[in-house]
Amino acid sequence: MKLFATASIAALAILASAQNTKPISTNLPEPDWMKGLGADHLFYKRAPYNWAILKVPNFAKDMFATSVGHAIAYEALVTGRQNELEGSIYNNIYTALKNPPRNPVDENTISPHFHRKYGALNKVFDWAHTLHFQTIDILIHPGWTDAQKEAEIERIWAYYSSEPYAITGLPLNMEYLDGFSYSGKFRKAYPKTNGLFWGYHWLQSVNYDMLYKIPLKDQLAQYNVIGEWYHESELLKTDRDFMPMIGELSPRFAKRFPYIANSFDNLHMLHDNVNDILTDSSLTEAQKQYEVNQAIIRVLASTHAGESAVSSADDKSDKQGTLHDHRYPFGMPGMGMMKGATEFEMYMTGMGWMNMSECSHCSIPLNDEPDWGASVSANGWTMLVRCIMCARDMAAEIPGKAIIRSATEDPNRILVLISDEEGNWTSNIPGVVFLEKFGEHYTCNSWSKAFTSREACEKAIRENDEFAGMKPMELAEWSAIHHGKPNTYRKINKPNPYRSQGGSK
Amino acid sequence: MRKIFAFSGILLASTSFASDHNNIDSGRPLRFEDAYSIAFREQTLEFGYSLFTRDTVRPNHGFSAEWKSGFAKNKEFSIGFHRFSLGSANELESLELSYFHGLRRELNNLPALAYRVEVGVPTRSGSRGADLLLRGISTKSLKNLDKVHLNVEVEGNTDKFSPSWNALLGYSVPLGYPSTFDRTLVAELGLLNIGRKQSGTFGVGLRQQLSPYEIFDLGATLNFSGGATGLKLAIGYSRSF
Repeated sequence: MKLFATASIAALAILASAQNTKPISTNLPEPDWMKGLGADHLFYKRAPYNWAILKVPNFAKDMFATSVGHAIAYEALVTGRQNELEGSIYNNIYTALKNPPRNPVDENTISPHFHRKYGALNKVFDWAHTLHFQTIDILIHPGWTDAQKEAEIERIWAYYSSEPYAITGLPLNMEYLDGFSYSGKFRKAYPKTNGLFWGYHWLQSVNYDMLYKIPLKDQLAQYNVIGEWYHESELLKTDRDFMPMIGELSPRFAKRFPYIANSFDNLHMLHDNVNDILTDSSLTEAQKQYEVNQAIIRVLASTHAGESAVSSADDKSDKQGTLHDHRYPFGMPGMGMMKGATEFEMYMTGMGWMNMSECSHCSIPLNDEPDWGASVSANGWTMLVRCIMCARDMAAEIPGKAIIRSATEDPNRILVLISDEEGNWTSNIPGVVFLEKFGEHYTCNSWSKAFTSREACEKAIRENDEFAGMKPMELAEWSAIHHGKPNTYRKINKPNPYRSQGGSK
Repeated sequence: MRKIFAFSGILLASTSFASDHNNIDSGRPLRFEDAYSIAFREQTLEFGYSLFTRDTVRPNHGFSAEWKSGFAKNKEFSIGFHRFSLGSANELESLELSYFHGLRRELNNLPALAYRVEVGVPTRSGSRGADLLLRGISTKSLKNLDKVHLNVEVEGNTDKFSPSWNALLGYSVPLGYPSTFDRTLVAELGLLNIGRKQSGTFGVGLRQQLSPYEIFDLGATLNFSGGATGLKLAIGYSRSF
């Protein structure tokens, strides 16, 4: 049996090589726990914040529904009903996503046959999904300060990492992980259903910046917009080049907790790998089981024990493009290297080529935290900018609603501005005022500021010579200004790496 | 105590539950259970109230409360308190200790396997001996989302050890697919005290998820023995933390 498996793998490797793809198998040794017979169900960390997600009810229901999609699809793929994936099964998944359940869904309930075959995978998924929900609960929990929440997120990561099923928090090379002979088969064969999966991976990624350092009432207000984007647009997209990444959609959270962002991206890639393996009709059942196990092992923390992440700008190793390539794009430690990415630049669906260390509006390098400037969410993406002016002007260029999250003079209060379709802004801070004295963008973060009150603004004017002569502006006055695209903006003109070799990947 | 033993087919309420309506627990609301323990590090509290008739005009009733701890992977320990009224001057109480061990999850075509050991200690003066129960449990998925569960039990009392055998065939199916996933229908057929004063049981019930950590259950069980029919109605509430 072992001989047969080895011979089959070798034959597939030759076939893969002939098709200019990497050998199908990485042939990594299986950890002992994967051979265990127990169900090994694990409970979440007991804490006062558990199920705080229910305080944002529509978000909670949408998140609960995300458990449904993969479970239904996996069950179809292992019970010979893949022909229904773009028809009745798509309809079942979409129905559940549009009418989400009130309570979390145990995936084992709706995919029992899949779990019988892939029990080890179930353990990895379940444990990572528990981390997903607990980080969300912590960020929503209204009883704690931001500092307490950040400390607890560190603890929850340690709790998660203590189990052998934990996925690595290191950035993994996404081009490598998505470069096997089976890669892309599911998205090509079932683009509508894959669109749903990537649509709710978008939700699972975009929520962290919606929640991070933002009080509950402003989380609720944001989800009115984000939930609308999710249901009306993001779930239905079938033209994404690649799965949504945490660093693309929640860049502030990904910078602060890169290991968690990386682990979720690695988890989502494992989902894609499994989709592709189960779809690949050239593989036997035994080969599918073997390849799913290999895909698990590739992302396990234990496989990368003792290794560390490195900025792409500093990398001197010979690991580039391999499983142990732990580079991240300069300025974004919470993301692995993407297809075609260089030291500083990567391609983002919807945005084109970007430098993650620069302001998306003026192309001037971003400031380091804690003076992190602002971010703009619109049209399915979230981008970091240097200042509130860049955020406003960038949002004005995008049709539809937008969300700006900006630092204020108070490090404990984030300004959340939400615009309607006509560009009318509402603020979470009723007395917000702005200072703005248009000048060179190289210093825009020093002359474009938001303040939580007129008093705070006037105090800053009195105490800082650089604000001399400036007048506080109310939201209505400030939001009517538009300076257009700055002359420092640098558009990176390079072809889409996912489509440059003929069609969508 | 002997009466508790004799009526255990319709009285005993106990054992394994997780914060999931589809993880079937003995006594909540029927007698059978599935072959999965509560999660590692999970604790649950369960409360149940039963109303039952058996050749009496006045219905009898019982209350149970139980704490469970998933102290290791696939293993749980529980302590339960049961109080039953079997007539105006005949109240019974017991303290129950239980250990569950999940041996194997479902693997390809092989069913999940587990066992449970229970010791029921009487807490009222005048009662004698401890009730013992060993249950072997098997769970297997059927063609769709439904599952069958086979429970085989041997039970006895230390005061006069004369073990008897019970067999239960349980069935569970989650309801509401694909738009809701928070309810499981359960049913069972059983033979109790096999080969002796044999009785049969038939029950149906429902487990409803109230919240991510709460379950409500409701069930009815008919017990047939020697031409007499008993009915047990049970409601319960379980909460994990």
